[in-house]
Parts: sequence; structure tokens; C-alpha cells
Amino acid sequence: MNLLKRIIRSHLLYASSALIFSIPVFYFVTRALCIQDVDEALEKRKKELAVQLESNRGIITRLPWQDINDNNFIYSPVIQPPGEDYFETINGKDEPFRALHSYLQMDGRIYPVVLRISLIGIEDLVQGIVITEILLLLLILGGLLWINRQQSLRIWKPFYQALEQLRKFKLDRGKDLDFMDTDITEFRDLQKAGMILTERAYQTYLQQKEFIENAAHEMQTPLASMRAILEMMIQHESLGPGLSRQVQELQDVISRVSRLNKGLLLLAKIDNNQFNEIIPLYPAGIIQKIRARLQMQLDAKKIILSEHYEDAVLQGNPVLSDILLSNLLTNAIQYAPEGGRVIINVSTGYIEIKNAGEPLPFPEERLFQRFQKGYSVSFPGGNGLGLAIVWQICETFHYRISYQYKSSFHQFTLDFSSPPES
Amino acid sequence: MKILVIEDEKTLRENITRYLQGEQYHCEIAVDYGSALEKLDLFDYDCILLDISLPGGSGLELLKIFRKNKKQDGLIIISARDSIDDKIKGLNLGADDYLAKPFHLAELEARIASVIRRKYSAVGNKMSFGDLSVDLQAKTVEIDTEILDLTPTEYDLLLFLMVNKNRVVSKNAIAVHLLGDDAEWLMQYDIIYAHIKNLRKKLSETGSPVYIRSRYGVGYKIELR
Repeated sequence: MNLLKRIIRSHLLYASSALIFSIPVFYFVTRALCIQDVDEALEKRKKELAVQLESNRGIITRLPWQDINDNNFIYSPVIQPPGEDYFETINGKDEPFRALHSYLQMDGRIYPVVLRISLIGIEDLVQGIVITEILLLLLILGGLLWINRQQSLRIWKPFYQALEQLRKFKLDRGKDLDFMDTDITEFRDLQKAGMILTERAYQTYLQQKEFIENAAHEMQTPLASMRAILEMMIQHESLGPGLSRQVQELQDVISRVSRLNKGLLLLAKIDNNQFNEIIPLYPAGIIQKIRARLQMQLDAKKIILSEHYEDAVLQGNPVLSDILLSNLLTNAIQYAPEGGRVIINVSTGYIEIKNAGEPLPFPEERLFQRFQKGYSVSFPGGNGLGLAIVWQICETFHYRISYQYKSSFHQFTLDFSSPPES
Repeated sequence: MKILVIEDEKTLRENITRYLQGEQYHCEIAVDYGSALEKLDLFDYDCILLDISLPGGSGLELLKIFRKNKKQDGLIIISARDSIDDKIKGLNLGADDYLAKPFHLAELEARIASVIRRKYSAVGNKMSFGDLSVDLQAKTVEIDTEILDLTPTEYDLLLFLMVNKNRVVSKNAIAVHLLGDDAEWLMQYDIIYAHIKNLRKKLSETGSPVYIRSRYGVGYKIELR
């Protein structure tokens, strides 16, 4: 629920409960006031009737006397007075009445009387008043809510704009925040805090980026020198078999250090969000290119490759997607036995890469950890970063990577159905 | 052929010059931004090797100025930065090739040869060694007008050795050349040996004096018997 709805909701809740509570109260109060009025009228009529009787005694002889004017009744005299006067509301068949039970005294005789007034007009009046009142209340309420909402929208606009700006902030671009002017202190504070935070994040990003670049340079350049020296050394005729073998070993070590360095720097770059570009990619095409690159290794190990491709689309970074799929495929080739099977299955929303092989020699949950290595007879040169990089890329782009060992196959499933926001 | 090596790391610079000078190349050096700018302004080269991180300025800046002055010399960036972005940036600025450190000198030599060939395309489509004649466009190898039947890998391998003729090329360099830096560790050296063996067999069947000599298992050298 958003902020505006929340605020309006509590207003609405209060207003409607007040309305619901006030309708019956209003109805009963109005009605009671009207009844009181009617009662007064009845009292008055009783007095008039007494005066009327006094001046026209002849009427009494025609008892039981019904109606003087339709609603007044005088009954045959009784000996005992019937007690206090009282009012009564009669809900008759056709219409409700208000009645006054009383008596009149004349010539020492007591005549009970019932005087009544129809309430039908009163009920209509009360209903009319209440309905008008409700409509009026609703009108006021609706108007207030509407004004409130319009004002809130206007007042909160800088807030929403700031929020949008922060959401769109891209680390690698920095400094492109543009907040709108506002005279509300809290929003100004928010904008200032947003500025400071993003600026700091951007500076950290730049520093980290520079560090990675420098680290690459400082590591790779000496390695390049070492490689060059070794290549010059093997040109010498005097280099014997023993030294030659050691030169060879040194070259392999340099390759490993260089690859390790690259892997760690790549992890640092991914950590630092240096791969921002996200575009639709076609995993089938990417994998086919990678497979072509790895053809020699496939041939060398006599791998039996089964492939199935569908026209899936993956939202991702072109560089990292290539590395991700390449690492998975390389891993499968590396750990498949000589002449073993590797299965590639590209479907809509997911990719499966399987290779035959013995079960993992370590607990499954350590599979994607850095420097976790399996045992590969044919290619011992791995540095245990391949799957860690896969994991990191999946984390960054919200892909799900899962592993299971089923019927002598290591199976990696890459689920990319919930794509990253571009 | 004149080569300018712009590289601030002394050891690397010296070894590059020493390796290249053995052949038909004459190398000059520049150790920082200023001296490189001066040399680029005064002289023409067949190929320039340019490091990006230089004392006094960026190699990319140098490249920008260089290409703005309409200089058409071949240029290869040699950089420790290995990301695709850096490569694309370099190539867009007009570099002919981009080689990430640590590279092999044998690979560097092959890239230089390729850049120079492209520059002098009229004469650069043929290459020969002994009685071998390579048509670089058609990717075929002839001995006495007879085409040698080679697999693509064998062709690559032979060409790589020929470019680095008279020098020992390490197996490590061959693996990187054939597979690229990232997949090279997936290569067992006996696979290279298998390709070399096939190549030797095909060469000896023609009676050619060209021979691929093994150097104590560390590398191979193409020479004439």
C-alpha cells in the first residue's frame, strides 16, 4: 500500500464510521423532537376539547360519543378516574398514530378521552431531513477526501521524484541526480542525504575500479616479463634437458598465476557492479560459439556431446553471460571422463548442462565456493574459481543455479526465467 | 622493418626488442608518454607496440593523437587490462590488434607479422620457408606446386612456427595460440605433440627439408635439415 492511500485510508475510515454512527443518532433525535412537538399539540387539543364540551353540553347526551373530528374519542363516564395521563405510539395497520390517554370532568362525571394525531406526515418529514443530511455529509466528505488527495499529491511530489531518481541511479554513471525544488525541510534533508550517499557510493565505485585496474597492471606486467625471459632462455642451445623441464614448469606456473589473477579480478569487477549493460541474448548462439572454441578439447577427450537447443532469450550482460556459460561447459568437459557424455539442453527459461562422472569428493554445498576443486586427471590446471564466478554472476543477475547428481550425471541447471531489471 | 616499442617496464621492453631483433626487425624504444609522442611525431614505423599505462599519460590518449594526425602505421596495444570493454575501446580508437599481458613473445611476433602483412597486402599474401609456400588468403600450403593436405589446426600450427622461424616456440605459447588464454589450461601437451607428429609425417612424406625439431620437450623449432 502506498503512502497516499495509507493516509487517505485512515481519513476515510474515520469519516465513514462517524457517518455510520451519526445516521441513527440523527434519526432518533429528530424523531424524538417531532414526537415532543406532537405531544404538545395533543395537550393543547385536550384543553380545547374541554372548552368545547363546556360550551356544548348537548353532545354528551349522545354517548358513546365517537369522533368529534375523526381523531378524538370520548367514552361513557366512569366512576373512578383512570389514573395519570399518558402518551402512546400506535403502529396502526395503515398509519402510525401518537395518542394521549386522559379524561375530562364535567358535572362530577369522569369521561375518558383518547386524542390522537397521525404520525405519517412526521415520519415523512424525519426521513426527508435524514436523507438530505446524509447526502450533505457525503458531499462534504467526498470533497474533503478529494481535496486532501490532490494536496497530498502536490505536497509529496518532491518525495516521489527523489525516490524515482534514487531508484534510477546507476553506479557507473554517478552524479546525474536531479532533484526538484521543494520548501519542505524533511524532503530537502532526504534529497541531501540521497546526494551524499550516492556520491559516496560513486566514489567508492571509482576507487575500487581504479584499484582493480592497477592491480591488473601491477600483476600482469611482471608476469609478462617473466614469460618473455623464459622464452629468451629456451632459445639458448646450451639449455640442457633438466633445465628445459624446469623452464617448462615455470611457464605453466606463470599461466596459472595469470589465470588466477584474472579470475580474482573478474570476481572483484562483478562485485563492484562494473557490468551494467543488460540486453536480450540468445543462449543457444552463445553456447554454440563456446562449443566451437572448445572443439579441440572435446576431440581430445573424445567427449560424446548431445545438444538440444530452443530459441530461448536470456536477459543479461553479453560479457558475463559468455563467461557464465563458458565456465559451465568447461567444467563439464573438465570433469567428464575420457569418452564420457556431456549433455547441453537449452530451453525457454532454463539451461541444463550435464556431464557423466563420479560423485563429488566433497560436500555438495561447497561446490560453488571459491577455490573448491574437484579431482581432474586430465586437466589439473583448474584454479577452483570457475564455478565461484558462475555463482557470483547468477547472484548479480538473479538467475538461479542449482546442482544435482542424478544417475551418474552431474547436472547444473541455470534458471533465468526471472530476469534482472535493466 | 621498423618497430617502435612503447613500454615502461624495462625487463619486458628489453626482451621484446631482443626477441624481435633476431629477425628482420629493427626496434626502437620509448619509455614514457613524452618520448613516445616525440618519436611518433618525427618518424614512421611499420608497427608500433603500445602499452596503455605509461608514465606521464595514457597510451589511449597517445593513440588518439596519433590517428588524428592521419598516421597509418600498424599499431598493436599491449596492455595488462584484459576486459572486452578495453579491447573494444582500443580497437575503436584505431589500434590494429590488442594483446593482453602476459603474452608470449612468439604470439607477439605472429601478431606483428599479421599487422604488417595487412599493411603491405600486395606483397603480403605469400609466405615461404624452405620449399614451403603458404598462401595466406586461401590458407593453403604448397610444396613444388603440390598442395599439402593439412587440417585447420595443423595449418595454424605450421604458420605459427614459420612466423617464429629459427626460434624455439614453447608448448605453452602454442597452446595459448591455438586455444586462447582462457582455455589453454584445458590442453594437454601430448595433444600438441600429436599434431606435431602428424605435421612431421606429412612433411617428410613429401621429402621436404623442412623439419620440426623438438627441444627437450619444452618447445619446437622449425628448421631446414
